Amino acid sequence: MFDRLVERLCRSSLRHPGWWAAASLVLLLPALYSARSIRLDTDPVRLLPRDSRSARLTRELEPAVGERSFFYLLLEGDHPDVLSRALKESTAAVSDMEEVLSIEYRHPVDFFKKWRYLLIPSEYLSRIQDAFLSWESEVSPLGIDLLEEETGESEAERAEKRYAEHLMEIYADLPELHQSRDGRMRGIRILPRVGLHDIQQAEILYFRLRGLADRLADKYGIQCSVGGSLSRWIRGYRVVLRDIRRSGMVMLAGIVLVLLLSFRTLRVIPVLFFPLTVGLIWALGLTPLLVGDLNTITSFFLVVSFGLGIDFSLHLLKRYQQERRELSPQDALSRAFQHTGRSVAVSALTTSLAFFVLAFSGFRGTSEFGIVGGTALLTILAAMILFMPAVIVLGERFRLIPPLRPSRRLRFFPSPAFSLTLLFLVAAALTAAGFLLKFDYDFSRLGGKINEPPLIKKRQDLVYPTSLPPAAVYLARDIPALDGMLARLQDKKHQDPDTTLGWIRSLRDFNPDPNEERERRMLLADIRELAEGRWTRRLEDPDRLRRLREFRDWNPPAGIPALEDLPEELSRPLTARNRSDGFLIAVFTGGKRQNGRNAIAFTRELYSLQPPEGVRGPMGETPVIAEILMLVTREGPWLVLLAFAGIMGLILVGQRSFTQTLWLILPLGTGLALTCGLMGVLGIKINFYNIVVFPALLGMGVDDGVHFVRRWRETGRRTRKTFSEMLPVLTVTTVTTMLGYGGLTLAHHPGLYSIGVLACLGLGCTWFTTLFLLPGLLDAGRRRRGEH
Amino acid sequence: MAGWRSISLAWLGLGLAFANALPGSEHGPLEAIRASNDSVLKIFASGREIDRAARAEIFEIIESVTDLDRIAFAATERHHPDLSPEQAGRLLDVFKRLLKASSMSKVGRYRADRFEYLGEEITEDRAVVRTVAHSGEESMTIDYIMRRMDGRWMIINYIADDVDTIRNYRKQFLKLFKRHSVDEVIARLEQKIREFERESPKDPPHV
Repeated sequence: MFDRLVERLCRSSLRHPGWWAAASLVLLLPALYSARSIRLDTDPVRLLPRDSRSARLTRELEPAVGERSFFYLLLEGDHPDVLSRALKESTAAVSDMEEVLSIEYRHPVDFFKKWRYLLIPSEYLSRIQDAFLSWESEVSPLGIDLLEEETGESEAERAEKRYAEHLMEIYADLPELHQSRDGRMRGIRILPRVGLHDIQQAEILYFRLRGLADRLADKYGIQCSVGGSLSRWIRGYRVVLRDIRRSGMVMLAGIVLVLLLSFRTLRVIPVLFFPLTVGLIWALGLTPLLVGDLNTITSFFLVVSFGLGIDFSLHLLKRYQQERRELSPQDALSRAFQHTGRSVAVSALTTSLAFFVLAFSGFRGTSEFGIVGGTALLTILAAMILFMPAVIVLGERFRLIPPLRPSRRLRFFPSPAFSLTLLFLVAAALTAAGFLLKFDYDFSRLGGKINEPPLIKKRQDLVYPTSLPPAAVYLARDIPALDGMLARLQDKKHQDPDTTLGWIRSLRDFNPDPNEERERRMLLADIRELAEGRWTRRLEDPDRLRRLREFRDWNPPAGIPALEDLPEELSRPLTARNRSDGFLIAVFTGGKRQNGRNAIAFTRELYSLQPPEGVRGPMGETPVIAEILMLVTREGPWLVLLAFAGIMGLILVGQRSFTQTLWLILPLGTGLALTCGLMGVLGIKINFYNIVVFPALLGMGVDDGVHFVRRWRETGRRTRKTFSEMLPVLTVTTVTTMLGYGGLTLAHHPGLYSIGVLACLGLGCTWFTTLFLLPGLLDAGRRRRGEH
Repeated sequence: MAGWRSISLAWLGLGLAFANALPGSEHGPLEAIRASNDSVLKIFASGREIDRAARAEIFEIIESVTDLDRIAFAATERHHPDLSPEQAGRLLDVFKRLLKASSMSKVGRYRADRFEYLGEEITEDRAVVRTVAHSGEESMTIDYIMRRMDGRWMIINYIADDVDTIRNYRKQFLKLFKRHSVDEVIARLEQKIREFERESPKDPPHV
């Protein structure tokens, strides 16, 4: 049936090549129209399944909780007057920007001065007391500092101490403006109307702020910069866009160079590129219908598909050139498409099958990559079968296709002994992989965010030392619900010695319940008594002495601040966008935020807590990342196995021989083993981006084996001849596919870079095992059967 | 603190040791402290190097006049009801070892030029001896809390510049037990002992 279809297409293409070309152009129009609506969405929530807990809670709570990410505008200068003028101008300008929801640049100093240390939660007052007890022990001749930890202090413990120090500092000596301790830097915290869920809109505000920063810098002769969590996301988004452009250009330049070397002319490019471009535009047109927007991982599917699809044109054109040496255009066309067309179809189907297996993934970064990648291969295959014959005919007519130069007979041929040695190498690689291959749980370099340049980060840290948004947020309907949830979180935090929960912030920090108020007052009395001791005279550190005196000389006022009296700057970050929607509880991680294992443990801890009635959550960046990591690590091995089984099944159906199937997938299996071994030795880790490469590698890697073994059978099992013929062809097609992924090795986005590196390594290894392991083993098998 | 090389542990305990160690001696608490201070002053004035052996010797005497068992018990007793007898025993033992290691490490580090004796208050078997230790222009009040045991006055607490030593230990233990299990607390004390033992030989001799 395939032969008959191809025969008819070839005959029709020979008679009406112009019509076929015109038809292809007409069919492009709807695809181009549909492709106009494609957008890039780098929000990590976009990568989770819609029904995942984290994605669902984000959808539910985001309208009420509002935007949590923000910008900072940072001003640095030596003259306070100049800084003040620049700050005044910038606050006015930023407030007038329609994309800005609100700005903060003043501390509620009067409120802080009145209530001061009563605003510090008891658990942190207790830590401040710890510090004072330690200082007391240090200056006492018989004292032993039991609380000091020389070694083995957990990250969570350190974080809690840092936060206690921060609280002690801000309530001891708080300036009116957001500024660094030396006063050389001032900052404005800017909350946008739209943030991460509409990154293009946020980008508009980012550019306006950058423009304002440049103007202020010129006018006042100061340093101005834009930072904040949202700017990190925008940097990530822009890096992805830049990487796409750069990778595309590098890939195109590389492929053109390879084609020039292979065909010795660039005239052939329209013949090779036209059907491929048609297939890609169809795939692009189908993308909005299949997956909606592109995400960070799928954003590269065009580049990758181009690298994969060019192989099809290359195989078909090379075969046509070969057949044209002896046959008429009609016969050469039919023969090329009947034989190599079948191999191309098998390759496209196996590779797309591997991609479609990814669609079963719960991680939408992977599943959508599988859907768009698999679809692209099918549309490219359809375009190749439908339009490539006509394009070849037109290419012949316009003398775009050069005659094939006779191939040189290669002296080198991998002997069976050489191949057996390689087999041992593969076994060693597999063993190395078992010991050395690791999963990378550190997502600091893999997320959608790109950190600010060090200078901006340094400025930001000086003005906003604890500037991170919370790892997770709960929304409580009312104060009793808020208290109920706080009690559960505090219980969890204090009862579990391995807890990853860190600071827990809510309006109750500033408006404590009677028990908490009593506890704070008791601790404050204890601390003040401690601070009144004669031992404080012997403290040599003036900073310590100042802090102790601040506590000693401050008299707590009666009562506590009422919720209604809280300044806007304090209540807004801890209240729902619409106050009637309730109050927020911000939970921070105790350990390192960027450690994936810590994020998973933190999320599991929160998920194990049943919120009381009237409380919803948690939502936030850390549960999202944790769910992605859990998904990827749980299903990654199964996806690889499923893809492998699917490909093997497809080949088995086609070959109807288990032995033949094994020969076909031998280079793939050994190539993958070699890849894993090299990854282990080179320290390349698997992460939640590059894990998508494995199933894709199965699909791509099997192609070389399919082409080699089919041609080997066509040549009457003449291994040396097949090797001579296939070495240049497979090298060119592998290099072009590698160029598709190879562009990613130049990506600044670390996750995408890791995809590029792993794909290139895997393709290289599969190419190597196809050409240097398989021929020797085929030859050895042939000799064993007594064939010569 | 560097400027205050003030009260020597030897001053605190060594003199007492000499005083109490004399056969048949029956000093009052203040006399015991005064005699000990004079004796220690003589030792330091002799120019003898306060090396590891000297520390051990001094500490042996300190141990004989300071009721370390009582100090360790007073510091940790609040937690005993929550512990098994074996755990409580281990805690007492390790904390006593820590007190010894800490004292050994600090012997000779704090030094005074002279002492002022403000008086003593005796209530049955209990006594408080009030002193002021002077080092150059600086001074430190030291109150010795003592108890008479088998006819000898033993130190059971010190209050130096308003720092009640046992109260300080108690507060720290309260915080430790709030955050850690008994095994973790014991492990932490063991770690502290190792740290003091590492530090001891490096101390420069003070003469």
